[in-house]
Amino acid sequence: MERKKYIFALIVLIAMLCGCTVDKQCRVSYKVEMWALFQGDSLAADTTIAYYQRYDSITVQGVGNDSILYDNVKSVGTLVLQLRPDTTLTAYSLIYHGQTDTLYIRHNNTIRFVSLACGQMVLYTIEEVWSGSGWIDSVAILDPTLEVKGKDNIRIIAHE
Amino acid sequence: MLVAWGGMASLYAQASAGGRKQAPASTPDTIRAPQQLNETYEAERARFADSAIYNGTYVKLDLFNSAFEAIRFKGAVQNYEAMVSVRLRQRFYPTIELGYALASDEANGGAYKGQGGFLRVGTDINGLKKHPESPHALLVGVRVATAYQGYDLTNVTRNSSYWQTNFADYTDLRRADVWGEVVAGCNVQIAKGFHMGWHIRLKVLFTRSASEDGPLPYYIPGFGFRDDMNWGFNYYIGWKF
Repeated sequence: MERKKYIFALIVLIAMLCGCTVDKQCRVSYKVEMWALFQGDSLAADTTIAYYQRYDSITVQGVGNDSILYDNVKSVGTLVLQLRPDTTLTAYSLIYHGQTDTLYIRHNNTIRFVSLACGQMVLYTIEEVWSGSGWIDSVAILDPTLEVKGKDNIRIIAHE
Repeated sequence: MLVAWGGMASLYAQASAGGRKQAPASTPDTIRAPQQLNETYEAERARFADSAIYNGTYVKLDLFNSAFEAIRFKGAVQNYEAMVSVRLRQRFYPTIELGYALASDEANGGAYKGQGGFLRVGTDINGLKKHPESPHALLVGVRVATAYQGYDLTNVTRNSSYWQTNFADYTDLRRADVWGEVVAGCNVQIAKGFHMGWHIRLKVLFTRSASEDGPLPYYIPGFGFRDDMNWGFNYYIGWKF
């Protein structure tokens, strides 16, 4: 009986020690994205109420990137956009019913090492947002800090 | 204590002198039979041994971590450690532990390589209350430990699924870490001067904050894989001098 106890204790100990290993796969998402919600111009620009206006036929493409992020997507209330990890200015081209405008975001990048498997995570703080002279009326910052768990960061006010 | 023993011995000598000096009629406290006196001597000798300050020096080598980590991580993690302790007043074992470890790994195209030394200082207490003079010991103790290492991380990804992925290299990084340990174990004399024993350790990392300069090493020599808390185990062979 005593011997069984010792063997059991030894197995538990070895199991505990075997648990110490390096994870070769990144199992957690460290993607940090900016959420931009649309607001119609019928609501005051400085309202604190989050108001989603859905827009049809939205196309979004990063300036300097050949890949289209949203391709003529219907009923879009919020855009989820990635900021550039290699520089502090990100620009997106937004096309709505054939009209083009550009959204500019100036941001701070803070690099955090996560693990060998996950690499680095870049945390962003939005410093300034503005748009070109197209269909967007104005842009405002709601929450400048981008987090892994998404939240509304900017508001795009446009003609309804 | 020796004076007390000398006094008793002299009284015994006087009692055994027989006819030259007559013993008082009733002196049970001062005159004893040889058997009783021998027992008293043994008791006094044990007390004297228990009160001696220095009771020997132990030099021990850890076998478990060297073997376990070499097998478990196929040589990617190697750990070597030795321990020197002195036994004081039978119960106390001030201890210094020295070691060296290296770790390397690859994942997602990135590579990690680090190596460094560590030092633990602390004391154990012998928990055998009835026979503290025994060469065997049941030990509990504490340690304060530090490790200093150099490490490199190369080809580390900075992921962005939309914008292009970047890679970064961190080379020639150096960092010191500090932690505390609570240890428990035993020490058994197998043959004269030759000892074996084990220690189980609960380690709590004190230096948890990230450095501004770069990523933290994920393996700490003497502590293990970076975490707020860690377990450790040592199996020693050693010699007492």
